[in-house]
Amino acid sequence: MKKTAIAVVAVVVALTFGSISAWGQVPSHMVFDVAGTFNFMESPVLVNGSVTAGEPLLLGGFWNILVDDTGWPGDSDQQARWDYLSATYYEPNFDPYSFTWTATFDENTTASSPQWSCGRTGIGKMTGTATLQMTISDFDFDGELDTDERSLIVFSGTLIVVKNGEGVFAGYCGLGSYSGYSENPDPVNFADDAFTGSNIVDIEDCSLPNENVSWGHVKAKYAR
Amino acid sequence: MSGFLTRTTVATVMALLLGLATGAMGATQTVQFSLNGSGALLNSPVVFQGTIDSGPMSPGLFVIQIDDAGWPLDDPGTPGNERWNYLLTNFFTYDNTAGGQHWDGYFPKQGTLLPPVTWRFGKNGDRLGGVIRYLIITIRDSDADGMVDQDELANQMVAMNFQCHVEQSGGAYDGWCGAGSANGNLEDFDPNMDDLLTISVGNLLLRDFGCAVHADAKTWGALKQMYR
Repeated sequence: MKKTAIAVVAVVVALTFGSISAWGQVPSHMVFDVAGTFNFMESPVLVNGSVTAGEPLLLGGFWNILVDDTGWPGDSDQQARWDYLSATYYEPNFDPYSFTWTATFDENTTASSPQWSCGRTGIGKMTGTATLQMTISDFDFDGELDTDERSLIVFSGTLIVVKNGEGVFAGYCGLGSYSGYSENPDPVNFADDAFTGSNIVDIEDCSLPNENVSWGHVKAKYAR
Repeated sequence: MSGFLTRTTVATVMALLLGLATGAMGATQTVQFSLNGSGALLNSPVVFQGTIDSGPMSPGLFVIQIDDAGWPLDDPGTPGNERWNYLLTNFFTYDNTAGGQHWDGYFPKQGTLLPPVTWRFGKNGDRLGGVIRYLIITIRDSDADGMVDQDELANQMVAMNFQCHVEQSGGAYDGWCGAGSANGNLEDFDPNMDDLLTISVGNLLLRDFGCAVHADAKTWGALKQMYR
């Protein structure tokens, strides 16, 4: 009888601390900064960044968005590629009242949804899809997207975390959002844009039944 | 957060760029902010408002408004949710990517200028404002059934790009304009209550030169008239 009681207590303790350990290892809400480069004139289009501050689990890790450029002109003629990009994504989205162009890249505008991934070697990786919108200002109010106006872009988007992560993120799913801006020192020669931004990600263990996940999410929200 | 380390560089680029474009040099600044407020697409008018909790505009107030002209109201005499169905049909699209099913909503509607989404920040007479294009709202279809369930509305993601109009600036920001972006989430735990809007991080890249509206451009007043 005594042995049974000890065994039960041991199992309860193991389960309790196991759960706490797992919960503490993967936060349900993560906030972090990112920085890196991108160049839409090169194929494949990779927004290639790293995590520069914030969530310790991801600090020093990678943060990427891959934009599907199927159907775009190749990158051997960058001017032709830019002309296509401008005519397809920016010019139809000119706002004559704020003098801006906003290009959107998502499931509606590209051959497939942009693919997002974030993680850290030795820890794990999250993957999923993303929306991405990029706004360029018409600094001289002429309605023409001039080369030098590509020097500064503000961007933002949302993320879906699909349950095919790796490492500590295996089995997790969720969603997130991000925003930031980029600068280009030499748009004439289609140099890389350097970007900086911030990201939030909310994930939950999707191997759990839905009602448990939802309740855990509600509790996590109110615990913040 | 400390990630926006290139702020000075960006300001320099913007100053040089605009200096070349306008023949004038002036000042730039980055206004960082976070927001906490509430509102709902199901309300008319659609107004999200609350407090500015960080940055130079804190403690201040913010308002984000979506023009809902033409949107239906719910008929309390019917079980259907006419307004939500209208929004889902007209502004959201479904992404059926396996394992990542979700809806993306764009305000204004993607590829259009309607409905206009406007924003205003205020603190003790200091004012900033303009338009948002686009406000993106993403809802995850966690059970992949193609139906928006209440628990799926409990945590929606939002992202937005800002345009700061000189006509809307005042006080310490009189004469300033620019652009920016922000992101956060929208929580709807109860359809009978407002959603909670949290903008974790936002940045406005402002300048005090090159803001004059081109002679051919519509003014803010003209914009408002156009949408009435």
